[in-house]
Amino acid sequence: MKTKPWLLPLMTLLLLVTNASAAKDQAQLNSQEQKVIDYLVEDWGEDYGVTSVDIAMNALKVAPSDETRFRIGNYIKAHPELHEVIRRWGWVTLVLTPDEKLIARALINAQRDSRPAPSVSELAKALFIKESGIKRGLAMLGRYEILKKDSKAGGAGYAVMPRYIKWEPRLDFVFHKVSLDNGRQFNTN
Amino acid sequence: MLLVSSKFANERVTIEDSSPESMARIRLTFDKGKVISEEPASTVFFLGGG
Repeated sequence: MKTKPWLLPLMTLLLLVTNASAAKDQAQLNSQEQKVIDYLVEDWGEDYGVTSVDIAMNALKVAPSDETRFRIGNYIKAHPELHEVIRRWGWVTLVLTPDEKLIARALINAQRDSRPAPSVSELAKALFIKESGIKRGLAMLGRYEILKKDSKAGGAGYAVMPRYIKWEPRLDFVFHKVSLDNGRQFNTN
Repeated sequence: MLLVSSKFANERVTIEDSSPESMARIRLTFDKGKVISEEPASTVFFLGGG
């Protein structure tokens, strides 16, 4: 099929509008998601707080959802101007769950030390997480571009993005979760 | 730890943690600033600071 030359500018314009719309959708949060952001902005810095999205969602009784958590986390990643805590400690610290941090560390430490990458079942056994939970964690780490699918990586089939091999100057994959008797939970640095 | 011995010195506080070099989870519970339980049992807890 031959495209009419006069159609090209129109098609280009439509493509630009579609892409801009997708980016806008990605950046916009619904009211419930915005409440989680508001909670975190209020909480961060209090008692050395680096509270993560999962804890905030739980505190606000938002139904657990990887998709919601990713949308909020992605918003934090894209908006370091929201709070000094994001700029100081990094978005990774704030958006991952403890399980995801442990999964990431298992893969990072293996790759860093030139050991074979652990498989899903090995991760499940080492971390006391069901295999389905390991797969969800790997998928989330992939969405955040901390890991990437790599058929040559062996094991669980993910390789670590180079930036994260040497993460220890940052907090990234460490967690210190505090629970008080009154029900308050938060992470400290 | 600073919080456990200061702001939350009169409370029961549970800290879930892990060692960066291992995948082992660590869970410590403090009551009024003192450790009352530690998991795993092999956890080594150092008191100190200045």
